[in-house]
Amino acid sequence: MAYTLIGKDFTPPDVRAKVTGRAKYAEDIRAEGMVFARLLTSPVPHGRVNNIDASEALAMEGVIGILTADDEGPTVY
Amino acid sequence: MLTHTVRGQAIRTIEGLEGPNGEFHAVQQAMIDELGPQCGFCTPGQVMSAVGLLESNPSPPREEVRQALAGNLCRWGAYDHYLNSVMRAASA
Repeated sequence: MAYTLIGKDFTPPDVRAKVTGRAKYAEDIRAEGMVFARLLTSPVPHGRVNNIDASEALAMEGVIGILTADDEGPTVY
Repeated sequence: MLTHTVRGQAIRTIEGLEGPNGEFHAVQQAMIDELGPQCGFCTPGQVMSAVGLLESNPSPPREEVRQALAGNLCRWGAYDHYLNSVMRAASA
């Protein structure tokens, strides 16, 4: 079977961008209207969440909402 | 090295390395030919460290290159690939 790339000498398409500093990473991406999320993690190992009071956070300027496990969202695999 | 220690100095970064017509520096070309980078995140720093070294010593032994690149950390451990690239650039 003839392979297109296996066993062939080729330059991966992103190498030139990497050696010139032009390569963009996920962290570099900005889009109009983009929002940012932060993960709030548990301060204790193996704890149980009984209640979430997000009222203070929601009252802060710039906070557009919170997401919890109870929220409808994209299918998580 | 702290930024303020180079106040008033000319500072060259990866963006200023290519020639006026986009010609790659020997180190850049060697890294392409040797496939130095993996994810590429540390690559600009590796390149500039190598450029600094080769400008002060055009034909360094491998161990000297290793020391010169010692400050450039690579999460993926591509260190030998970068080392080979710089040795290739030095012999070009």
